[in-house]
Amino acid sequence: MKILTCVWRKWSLASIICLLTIPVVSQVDYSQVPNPSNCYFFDNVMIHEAPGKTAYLGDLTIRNGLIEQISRNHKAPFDAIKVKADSMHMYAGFIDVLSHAGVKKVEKKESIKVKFPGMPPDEVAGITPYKLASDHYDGSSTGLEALRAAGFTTSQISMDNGMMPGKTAIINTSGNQNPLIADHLNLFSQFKGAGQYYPSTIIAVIAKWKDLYNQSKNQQSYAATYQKNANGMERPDPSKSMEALYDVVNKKSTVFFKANKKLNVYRAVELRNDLNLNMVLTSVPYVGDITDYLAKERVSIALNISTPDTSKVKVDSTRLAEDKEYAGMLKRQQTYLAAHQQNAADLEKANIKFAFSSADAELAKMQDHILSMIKHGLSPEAAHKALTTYPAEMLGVNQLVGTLEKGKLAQIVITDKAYFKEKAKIRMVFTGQELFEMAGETVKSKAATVDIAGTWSYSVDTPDGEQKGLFKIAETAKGSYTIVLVPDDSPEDPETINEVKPNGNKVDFSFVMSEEGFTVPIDVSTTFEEKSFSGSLQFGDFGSFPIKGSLLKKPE
Amino acid sequence: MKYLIISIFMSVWFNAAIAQKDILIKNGTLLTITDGVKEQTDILLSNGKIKSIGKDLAAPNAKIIDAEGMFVMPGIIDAHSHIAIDAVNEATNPVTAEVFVGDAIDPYDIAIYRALAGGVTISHAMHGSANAIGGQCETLKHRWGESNPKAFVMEDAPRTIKFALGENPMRVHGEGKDIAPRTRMGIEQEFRRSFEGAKRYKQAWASYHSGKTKKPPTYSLRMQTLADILDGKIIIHCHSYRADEILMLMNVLSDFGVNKIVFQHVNEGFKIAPELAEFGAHASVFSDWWAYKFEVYYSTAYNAAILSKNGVITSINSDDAGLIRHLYHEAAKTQRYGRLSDNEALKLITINPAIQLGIDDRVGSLETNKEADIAIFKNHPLSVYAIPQMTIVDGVIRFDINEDMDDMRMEINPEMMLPAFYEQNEGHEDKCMQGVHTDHHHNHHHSHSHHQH
Repeated sequence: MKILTCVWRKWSLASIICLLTIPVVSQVDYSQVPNPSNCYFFDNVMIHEAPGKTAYLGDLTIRNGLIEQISRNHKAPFDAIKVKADSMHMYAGFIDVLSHAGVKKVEKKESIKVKFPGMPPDEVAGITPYKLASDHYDGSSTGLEALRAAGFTTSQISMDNGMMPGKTAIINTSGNQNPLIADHLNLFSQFKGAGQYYPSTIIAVIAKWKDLYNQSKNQQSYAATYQKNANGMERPDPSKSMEALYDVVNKKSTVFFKANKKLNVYRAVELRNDLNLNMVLTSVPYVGDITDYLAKERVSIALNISTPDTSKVKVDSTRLAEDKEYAGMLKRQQTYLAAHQQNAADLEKANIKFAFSSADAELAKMQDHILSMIKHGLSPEAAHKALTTYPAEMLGVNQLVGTLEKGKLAQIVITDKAYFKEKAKIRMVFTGQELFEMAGETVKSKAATVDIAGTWSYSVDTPDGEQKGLFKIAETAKGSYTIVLVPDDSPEDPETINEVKPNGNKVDFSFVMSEEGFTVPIDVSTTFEEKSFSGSLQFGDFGSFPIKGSLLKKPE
Repeated sequence: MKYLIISIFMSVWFNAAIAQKDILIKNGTLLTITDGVKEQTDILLSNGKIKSIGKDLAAPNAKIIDAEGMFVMPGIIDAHSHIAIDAVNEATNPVTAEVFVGDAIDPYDIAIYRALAGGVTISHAMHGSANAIGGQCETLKHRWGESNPKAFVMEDAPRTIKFALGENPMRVHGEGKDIAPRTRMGIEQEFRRSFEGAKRYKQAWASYHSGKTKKPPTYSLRMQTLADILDGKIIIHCHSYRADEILMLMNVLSDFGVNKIVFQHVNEGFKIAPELAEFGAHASVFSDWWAYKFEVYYSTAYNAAILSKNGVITSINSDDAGLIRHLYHEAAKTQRYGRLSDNEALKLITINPAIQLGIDDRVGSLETNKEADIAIFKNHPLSVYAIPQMTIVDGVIRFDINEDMDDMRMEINPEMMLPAFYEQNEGHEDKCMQGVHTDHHHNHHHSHSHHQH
């Protein structure tokens, strides 16, 4: 993927000497051979230095991962790799406020036996603030590839399990071995219960937050007193969870809290106020109608990038003509659709700064979503800020990234057309001292080949024990599957879900369970491997429960 | 364009509802509850309060509502409900005093509007009955149309907490998880162990604050909440059916010096009405709902009347998003079964539940300076012909039968077309055992058949 078509201007003497002194070895791992030069030169590109600044045709030199020179015209250094990007558009690489890409999935430890579901170990309860995303970093993850393909060069990554999965890491998206821009800084949290264990519901997650906060606060102050003079004092015994929260209590650390529905925005802000936390909300959905509240409460927001999918609204024209109730409901739905589409524009209008988070978003269509926001009233400048300077400020890395400036990290995205004006393709991304060329449309997910057809067992871990059954999956059209869900306890009553289209190895589907006038929407979100899958099942508002399964047989 | 019109119409409707303007209700028959029936009388609402009650009141700037031939009563209060909350049961532990359903209010639950359409202005959103000591409950004002969950909280209403006796906690924990409590005896021990723990927790903190010990005890919101019960700061609302168990809990409470208790359901309350009255315990009952599980067979529709006549403060509750819409009919059943007077019957859904929630100084009757929560009926509310016309909360009209559009939803999924009823019932079964029996994940054994109260 690295550009190898670069032009060598001349050999540097130094590198020749170097080559001469390399000891002769019988085998050479060529993947370990360093780039011929760590200097890159972009000639005659349309440079968008920062949101609101007029773009100009100019040159840019990168050395050792930093922007060395940026101007209307300067000479290429003698050792530079010249990159062909004539007349393309260059922006500071996009910054993602929160993602779960590039983090190895933390497997649930089957070995942990829990006698009392109400008192599970912290690990089972999803309370692991001491865990570092950087320790679970996986550079080869397809998620990072997807981030780069969408133009993100910087992302704050976090684990995703439980209410308090751990500390985040701010990384470049290169996938290389040392991607850290900042570490140990922030905490990720969400209203996610631990299935059959405490805390299972949102009300217990909130109560648990209050417990942990107060315990950490008390222990921290006691430990400090003890350190001054331990005479006659009982030994402090802070747990590692408590210690990991000291910075949160001291407000040195910001809590990035997932608030993926409007009510969770209110609830997270309430928690923030109760405990006096520094907080940024992530995955924020439609909030365009509560901008007064957001302004008054000074809420920091990272919006979900996805805008509503109009194609999901299917109009039954026969019914529309004869069913007045249906027609009325459709009208209201269209009103809400319009309002949701203006979400970002409404925030701008209310002078509320916002950035974006990619977790839960449809990255593959990112520019479509951004252009949709612009079409519905968001200024291109605000969109540009939301992807660069605002998130840089929010993450406290604006000295390093967010604009194209001499001395900043060379985190760059290059598009064939003006990204905030028209449908554009991302052609190159520079991040972590590496240049990535985007082949064509979108980068294909490595896992795209996983074929999910077959009979699979599944089990859902619920507060009331395991629920088991079968998924009978058949491919009905190329890349489209029908899933028949057969519960073990009522095989006579299966659910059929049509047109399930895997995205890489991600298989998400939803259906509405209804029976005698009661309905519950079920959203299943899974990752398939060759012989197993795992993920979560959102059961209406009851909560989200882990689901997993394995392949029993492939179709004959 | 037509969408825009709809949008404007909706926003105007809600804004109009929210705008505070004095309201003068003219010439109605006032069922005051605490001061008899007043024919052809006016009632003036101002700044969210009842400003005055009397004949020929004048208020030049007020919105006039002609209630000639109508019945005007205080807003109906439901002392047991699960509407408008996103989480009901934290069923993972037999004691979860720290959780609080007020943290998960759902102001977009259409059940709120439907309750308003039944004249109900206040509901007591309760934790479920999965645990011996469940979570804390929230007293909600039905301010439909507001977006912020906090707007639904009845400010400064006393704190309340859910306890549960009998089969539900036994089944969830004993049978379901093979831990205590497995029996009714075990449930008693959950209470005793919890209160004893809370006493020690209080002592440990007192000892720390007085400097006797230097290390602070481990903070526990659960223990703190239990200690608050011991200190009389929280009213217990206990799910209960059998008389023997109810007597047991009163004994436990006596041992720990706790006296604020409302027994919920309390189907066998009629057997021990004098004992309840002597203890000062209250009862919140169904009019005629029973036999949905073994411990609820020994029941009678005379329960409310027997309890009332024995001096027990009694209310009739819904525990259900459907039943909450006609609590006036539920109250009327006590006239057929027990011959309660009109006022005695109406007290069951107004001032008595207000007493049980500790808010009777603010709501529950038509008195000056009380909060302007009003329900207006065509025909007497205890008549089978009663039709709610208008419901006012804090002086704001939140339901008006003449402005009752087909689709009153607050939030609409822009991507998914679902009938209004279904969309707004996502995850809301509004039931005591919500979130516990997750076997309906797959086999659809929904709990709507009432067997899980």
